[in-house]
Amino acid sequence: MAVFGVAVSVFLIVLIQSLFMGVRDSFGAMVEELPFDVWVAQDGTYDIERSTSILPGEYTESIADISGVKGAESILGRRVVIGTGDRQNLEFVIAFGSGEVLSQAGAKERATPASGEIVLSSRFARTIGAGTGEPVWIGERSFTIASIVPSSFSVLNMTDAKATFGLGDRINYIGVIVSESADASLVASRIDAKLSDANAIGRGAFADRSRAAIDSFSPVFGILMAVGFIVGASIISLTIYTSTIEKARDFGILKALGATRAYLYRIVTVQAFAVGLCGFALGTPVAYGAAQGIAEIVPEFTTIFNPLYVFGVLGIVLLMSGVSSLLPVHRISRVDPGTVFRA
Amino acid sequence: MATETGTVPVEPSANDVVLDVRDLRKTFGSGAATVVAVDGIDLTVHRGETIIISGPSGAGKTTLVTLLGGILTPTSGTVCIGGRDVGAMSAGESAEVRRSKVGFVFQTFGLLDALTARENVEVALNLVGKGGASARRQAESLLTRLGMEQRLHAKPPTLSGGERQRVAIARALMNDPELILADEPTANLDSKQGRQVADILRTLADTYEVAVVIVSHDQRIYDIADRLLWLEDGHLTLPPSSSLEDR
Repeated sequence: MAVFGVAVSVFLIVLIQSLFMGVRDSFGAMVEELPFDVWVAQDGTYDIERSTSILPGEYTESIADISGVKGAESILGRRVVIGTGDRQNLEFVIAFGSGEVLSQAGAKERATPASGEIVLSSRFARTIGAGTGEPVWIGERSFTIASIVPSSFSVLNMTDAKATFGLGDRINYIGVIVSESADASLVASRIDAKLSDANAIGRGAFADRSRAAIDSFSPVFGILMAVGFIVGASIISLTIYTSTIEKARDFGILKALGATRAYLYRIVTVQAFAVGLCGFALGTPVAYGAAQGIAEIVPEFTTIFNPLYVFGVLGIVLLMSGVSSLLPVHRISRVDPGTVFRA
Repeated sequence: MATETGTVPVEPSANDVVLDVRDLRKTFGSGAATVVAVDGIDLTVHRGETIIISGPSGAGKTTLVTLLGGILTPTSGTVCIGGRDVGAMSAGESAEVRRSKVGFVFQTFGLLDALTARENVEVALNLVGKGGASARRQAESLLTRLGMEQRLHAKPPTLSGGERQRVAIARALMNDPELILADEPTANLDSKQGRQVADILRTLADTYEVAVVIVSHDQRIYDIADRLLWLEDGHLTLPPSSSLEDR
């Protein structure tokens, strides 16, 4: 029973943690997924999720001339509502300029869907229940799903995107691939120097900034994990405490025989840690399995199981076990060894 | 002050003294509600000696045995086991003396129900940080000597009262104690099993030269004692003649 209770607690903690990591990772995932070393955005743009960047379209050509730049791609991108039938949801949609730079990077299909077509991410296609060849709508416009690919974003043709987003000749970002011999930060500095109203940001920093958007929710996740911790620690503690009371006579016998406090405490803590570890061993794989199952049904349920974080949960379980043994240990210290002499 | 008395005269040397009690006193409560449980007892027990302390219910026998074992702290006086005053020790120090020098046999056996007979005996060695195969062998050897070779893996609830007490005696012997304190060891046994347990305790004193102090009002076992003492109203005296009539 105690093992089951701790397993439930571990299940909650692991699931919440992996969900948090999954959601966090999905923010800015498109930045990591694309091969651009440097992202150029309007000055003051912080990240791709919460800031709106608008740049003149001609900036792409002017950047292409900068030393160390191998290629520059115009990008339109924003989160929009895509629907099919009566189902709709938010999806990040990107359109690329010429697509040549991406084609060189081996992403031609994604870069250049034909006019009137859209390449959907498989996760989003599952979310709205759409398949290849079916129509979807964005605003007043309809598109046919050309293909469904594993990705963190969906792709429109640039012409369609301009018409849909209503930006005219303006673009949102410029993706830059630097030469093999060039230093990305140096290239970024050169872009900043040339374009006073633009800001060049390295891929890693831009992705991190985007992921930070979810960090504002981390106190909520933290509270949920704390609840899991308290539930688990309480279950272990109550179980061991009850067992200690039931076995008070046995502890009295051991005290009468000369058992040291350390010996008695070891019995309790070993029990607590055994319960904790069994609960961890049971709860972790169940949480993993549940996450996979839930993701099949609810595609937005993105989870990441990082072995390091799972070890972190193991640490939490060990802490839980240690904390939960304090109360029973206190109870043992009050057991009277003289009770064993009473008939 | 009580005087030390006995039924069998012994003249051991001072070096053979295992238990030496001087002017032992234990009171409970305070003021007008003070209860004197043990009142100025002197007692010396030598190696290989068996004494039985008897007395009426409520005379303070259990209090005395817990004082002798260093479990209760005396109000005044000394309880020296192997020359060390357990009454003046910290709880940890007196526990160390119990682990290394004293074996206990309880009226209710004091066995751990979750463990087998052999594991119960091994516990005594576990308490001093020893374990493994040698502890197992030693426990099996002791239980075999006490006729328990067929019941090594039985758990206490499945054992008879006499078998349980033999397991408890084996446990008491595991650390080669100088002193065995037995509190009503035959009280929960029928006459045959009680006799067997009493004979075993007597044999321990003779064979291993252990000092055995038995607190009991079971007259059937008085004959195993070198000395029989009477505890009443906290005082240790010669037994009244009436208590010896049925011996």
